[in-house]
Amino acid sequence: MGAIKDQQFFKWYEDYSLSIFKYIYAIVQEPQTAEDLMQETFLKLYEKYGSINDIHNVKNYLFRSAHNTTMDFFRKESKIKKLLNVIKKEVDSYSSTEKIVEIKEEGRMILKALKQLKPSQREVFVLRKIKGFSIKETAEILDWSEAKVKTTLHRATNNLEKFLLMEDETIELPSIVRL
Amino acid sequence: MNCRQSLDYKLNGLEDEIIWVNERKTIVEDRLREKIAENSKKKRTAINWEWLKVSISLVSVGLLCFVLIGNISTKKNDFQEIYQAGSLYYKWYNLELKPILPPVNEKWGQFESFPIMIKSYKNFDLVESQKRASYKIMRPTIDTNIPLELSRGVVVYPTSLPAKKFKGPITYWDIWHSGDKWVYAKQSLAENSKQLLNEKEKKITVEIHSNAKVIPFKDKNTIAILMDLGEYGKRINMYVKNKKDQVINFEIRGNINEEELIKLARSYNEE
Repeated sequence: MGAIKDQQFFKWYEDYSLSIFKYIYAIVQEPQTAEDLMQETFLKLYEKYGSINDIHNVKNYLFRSAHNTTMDFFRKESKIKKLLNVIKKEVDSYSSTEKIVEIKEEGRMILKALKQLKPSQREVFVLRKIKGFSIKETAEILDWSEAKVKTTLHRATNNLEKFLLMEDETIELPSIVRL
Repeated sequence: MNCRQSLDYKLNGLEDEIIWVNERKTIVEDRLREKIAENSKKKRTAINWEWLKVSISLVSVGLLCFVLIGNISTKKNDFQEIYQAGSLYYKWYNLELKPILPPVNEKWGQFESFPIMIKSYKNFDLVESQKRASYKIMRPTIDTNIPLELSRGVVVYPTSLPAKKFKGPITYWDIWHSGDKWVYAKQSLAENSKQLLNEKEKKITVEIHSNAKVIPFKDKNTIAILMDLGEYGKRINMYVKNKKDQVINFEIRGNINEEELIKLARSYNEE
């Protein structure tokens, strides 16, 4: 039983760790924290292995767990300022994160814009727009109503566009792109 | 390309823009394995500790039972040993019985005075007697099948004092009778009560007939000696220590069979 559990668990790790890491990273934007939270998410999965009803839907389970773990982290820190400071530091001294994560130029812009969103907006946006979950799935993962997902997503998209637009202006993109 | 399209285009590529350095996946996997092993070890230790606690509790309970049972059997054996040993001496608190007298060869008379006593005990008031007694009067607790009528009475002494004012030693009598069958049970507070119970006091030695039998009681607070008086019946003398640390001197004698007499004697002591 233990061997089968371990085998299945590490198969799931193999399949979903990258996706979960990127999701958490997009939210917290601190590579070491993202890795730690991902590890915690998988440990919870291991502990709850026996109570997972639908092993065919582990992906959603993992994202829900990752969401909860990340929110717990924010709550614990609730010192979000502290987190933001860390993120700021990390972005500023980018070279220190190279060993864990590499971000291409375009991605860095998006992440920078995401960082400007509220954590809840960031989450819904990443799940829906980047991870490609449906409204229904996103609502399940976040334990929200679909209406709330839609509203928050709408606000998040508008805000993000604004941030990106401002960013574009600062780097003086051709006007055709701006319009 | 409008702004929304531009955003969607950028977002589509974000997954590829974030690169989790390859070896990190293996590093985290190793950390997970390590953590899982550590957690299960902790769990096992916790489980073992639980088992250890359960085992210790069981052993303690076992030891407690052993001690209690040992204690009970010791208490029981105190008397049993005395009874079974057939030795020359029997001990009970500060009392030592020596069965050194020759087998009884006394001529006991009939209990001829019982009709007179029955008559005088007619209007006997047990409650009033108990009030005047300085010890708790023992009552038979069994519904005996002995087909005897019960009369009861009390003798107070010294007789010079008016009975109602007297509070102190009292001799209480039960008389069971039917035709020529009779039994009397007589009880009073032993005058040497304290000396009997306190081993620091001078030992009390009583010589008894070598054919006397010690009747076993589960309760170590009682010692009883049975004497066969031949054609005039049998007699049981008992010392009973009560809850107030008093010794009741109890004598029961009758011309009914031995088993019935013992049963009746026991019934006084089973409260």
